Amino acid sequence: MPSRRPLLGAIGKHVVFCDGIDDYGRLPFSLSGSFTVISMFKCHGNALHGYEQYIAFEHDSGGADWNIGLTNEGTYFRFAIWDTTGTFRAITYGKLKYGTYYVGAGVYDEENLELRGYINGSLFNTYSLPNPMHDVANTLNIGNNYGGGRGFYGEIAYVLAYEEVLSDSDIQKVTKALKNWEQNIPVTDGLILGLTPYSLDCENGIWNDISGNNNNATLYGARCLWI
Amino acid sequence: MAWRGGYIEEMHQELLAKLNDLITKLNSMLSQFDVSLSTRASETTLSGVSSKLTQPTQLKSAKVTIDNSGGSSDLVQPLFSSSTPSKYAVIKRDESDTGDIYVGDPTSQEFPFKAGDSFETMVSDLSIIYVKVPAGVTANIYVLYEV
Repeated sequence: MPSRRPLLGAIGKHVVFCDGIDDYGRLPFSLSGSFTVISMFKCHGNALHGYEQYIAFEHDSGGADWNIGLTNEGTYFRFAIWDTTGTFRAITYGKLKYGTYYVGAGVYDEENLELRGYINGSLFNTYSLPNPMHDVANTLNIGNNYGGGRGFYGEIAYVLAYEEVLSDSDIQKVTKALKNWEQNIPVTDGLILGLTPYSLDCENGIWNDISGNNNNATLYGARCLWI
Repeated sequence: MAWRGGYIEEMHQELLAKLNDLITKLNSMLSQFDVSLSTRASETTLSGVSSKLTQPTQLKSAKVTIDNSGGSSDLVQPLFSSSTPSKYAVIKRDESDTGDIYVGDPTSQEFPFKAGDSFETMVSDLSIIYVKVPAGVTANIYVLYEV
C-alpha cells in the first residue's frame, strides 16, 4: 500500500518528534529584556530519564537564562528564569494529560519584574520577581537542556518568541491560531522566532524561522512527524 | 379664674422648657449617632467577617512535588500555581524526603521546612506561599486545607 506521506515535507504540516533521550534542535539565539515565548506541544509520557523535559532552553557556557518545559513526569508546564542572584524562579501549572496538545506561554516582563504563565490562553499564575533575569546566554536548544539532557518526549508543533510582552488578548489570539493549526501567526509585532509546522525542512533537518530573522534551528536526531 | 389661668400658663412654660431641653438632648444624640454611622463597619466588611467565622464546609487535600534534583541553583516557586482559597491549612513535608527546603513569600524564603515537619496557616490564599528548593533536592509536600 503506498504511503500517504508527502515528499520533502513540502505538503501538509509536520511536527518535531523528540524521543526524550538524545533528540533536539539548536540555534544561535538570545532574548534580552522583556519577552514572550509560546509553544504548542504534546507530551507522550514520562521520559526514560525521569526528570523534567525541556521544550526550549536558552543557555551557553556562561550560564542559562530561561526555559519552558514540563516537570512532574511530564504532567506540569513550567516557565522559569534565572535571576541576577542565580536563583531559579519558576511558575508551574498541572496537571496536563499525556497525548494532548497544549499551548503554553511564558511572559517575562522586565519593566514590572513579573513572570506570567498561560496554558491554552488562560493565565495560570503571576510571579513578582525580586530581581531581573540575568542575561548571558545566546544559544537556544529545542527539546532538551544546555547539556543535551532532560530531553522532551513528544511532539513540538510551534515555538514562537517575541521581543516584547504580549497582552492577554494577544496571547489568546495566538493560542487560538495555534490550536487551529493555522499557518499564519496572527500577532507578528515583535516576533523574533517563528518555528511552525509549515516551516520544517524535513529533508535537510532544518526548522526554518518564519519571522524573517533567519533564526533557523538545526535538528539533531529529532525527526519530522507528518500529521 | 385668674389664678387658674396663671397656673396653666406656668405649666405651659415649664413644658416648653422641658421640650426644648429634650430637643437639645436629642440633637446631641443625633450628632453622636451620625458619627457612629460614619465609622461603623460596612455591610461588605461585616459579610467578610461573617464569612471568616463561618465553619468550613469542605476539606481538601493536595500533593505538590517540586523536583530540583537536577538543578544547578535554588528553585523558588509558588506552592500552588493559581489562587487556592483556604480558611485553615496543614502543610506537611514527606518523611522520606532528604534535604531542607525553605518557606516564605516571593522575595524571601527563610523558614526551614525539614522532612517530616509540618506547619499550619490561616492565609486566605495558599498560592501566596513560596518554596525554595535547593539544587539536588526534591520536595514532596502534602496539603490538607479547609474551604
